Amino acid sequence: MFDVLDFGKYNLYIWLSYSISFTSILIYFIIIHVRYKKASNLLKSLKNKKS
Amino acid sequence: MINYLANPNRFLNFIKPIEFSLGVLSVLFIFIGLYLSLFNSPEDYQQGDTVRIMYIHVPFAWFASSLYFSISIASIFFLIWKHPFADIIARSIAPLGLIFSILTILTGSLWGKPMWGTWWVWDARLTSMLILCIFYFAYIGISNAFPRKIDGSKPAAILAIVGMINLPIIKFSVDWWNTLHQPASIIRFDGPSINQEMLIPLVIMLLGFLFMSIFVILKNIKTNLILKKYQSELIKIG
Amino acid sequence: MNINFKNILIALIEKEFKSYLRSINNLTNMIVFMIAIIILFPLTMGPSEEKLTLVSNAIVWIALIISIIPTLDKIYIGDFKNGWLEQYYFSPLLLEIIILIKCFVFWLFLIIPLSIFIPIFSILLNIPFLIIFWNIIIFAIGSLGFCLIGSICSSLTLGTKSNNLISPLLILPLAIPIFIFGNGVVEAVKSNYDPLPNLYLLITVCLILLVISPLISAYSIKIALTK
Repeated sequence: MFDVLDFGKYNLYIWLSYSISFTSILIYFIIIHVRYKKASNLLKSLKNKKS
Repeated sequence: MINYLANPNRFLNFIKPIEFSLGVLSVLFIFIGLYLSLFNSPEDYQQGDTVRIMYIHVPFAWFASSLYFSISIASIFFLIWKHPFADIIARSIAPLGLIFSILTILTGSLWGKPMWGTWWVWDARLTSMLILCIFYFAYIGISNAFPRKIDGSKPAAILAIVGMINLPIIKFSVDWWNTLHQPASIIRFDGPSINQEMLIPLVIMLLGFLFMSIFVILKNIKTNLILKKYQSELIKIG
Repeated sequence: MNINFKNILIALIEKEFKSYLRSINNLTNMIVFMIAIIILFPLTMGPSEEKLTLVSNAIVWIALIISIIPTLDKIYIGDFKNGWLEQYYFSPLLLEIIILIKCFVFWLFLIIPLSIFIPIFSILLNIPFLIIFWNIIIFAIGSLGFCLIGSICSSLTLGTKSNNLISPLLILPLAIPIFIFGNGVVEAVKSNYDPLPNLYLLITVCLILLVISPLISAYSIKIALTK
């Protein structure tokens, strides 16, 4: 049933491994970037309130 | 140099110029590694193309164990010298290590199904990798489980040091026991036994993931330092 | 806002959802317990494939059931201690219906997420995919019956001093039909017979429980409240 997804030389397992790995790493990148932005905005707003 | 960098502000100033270039380097190396591993490297004579999963499975496995080792070293620093920066470093490494260990098990299962015919087998290396994954979950869980996050640092540090016993088992499990997993072929006493054409893409992927890990860890350290500064500013305001 | 049946129902369901969202502790306790059992079994039995395939299905089931029981025990304790059960007793909605809703939300929010872990643990123990599929179906139906039995038993032990884990003694005998019919489905799938008759019997047991469990639980709760 999964043979139809064999594109050329690369069978399903290679596709799944590479795509799952890199997608999850990209999602993690986005998460830490959003976290960094939220933290720096938080600190910036506190500094603005102080000054 | 460690004493110089142990001050968070000096650390932040130190890494400011190298951060962007680290990111660029990591993307470059990973892309080159992907091209080489998917298109330009030879097939294995028995496994065919499925061997290409090795080019991501091996880096993930190496980094899962090495990052745990780094967490243990940082925890030792934290317990002996009681420097809070060591605790921040350990907490910054942990999520990435968790993701790497989960991906190791996933890619390993996806590689094992065509190669050995089974998704999972309870042999020494796979079980110890699963234990490493559980240790990562436990580390992250216990460091965030206390009402004041700072209280969780010491228990988490002790947990990280206790879990160090797992790392030699992971590394030497394929030598000590009769396992289904392939024996060590890169870091051996006689030198690598892997083909040269397969070694080059593997090394490039390893370097790419190394730069990526350092980039991610530095970003996490920055975020955690900002959060800590925010908390101390809040306390100062009252 | 009209005080009618539908609004009270929706408000009740929302309250239960929020209380479970706040204590995500329950769910993680169950998951950690399951992981412990599933890892301990192959490590203590040795990794030989033949021994594992004989018992792997039973291991997954035992892990699920044993990890549900402590949480099931506490389904009414919180509401009993902070007085909500008395409000339910005096509300315009029948206590039986409220119990039914509580059981449903408990099942939906705390038990169904466990069924995400069934495929993961079954792959760890090398259970074939067809049996995993039937395991999920049996678990979805059987766990509803299990929750209803748990509501009977925890309402019986409401007034006792806490930390008495006598509810397994009460739950397990009553839950024997669920185990027997669930096992019947899996055996039928393994030997290529039709699994549907046993599945229908399982559904029958759960439907009977759906009717009698609120009645018995409401009666025991009234006894516990008026003591």
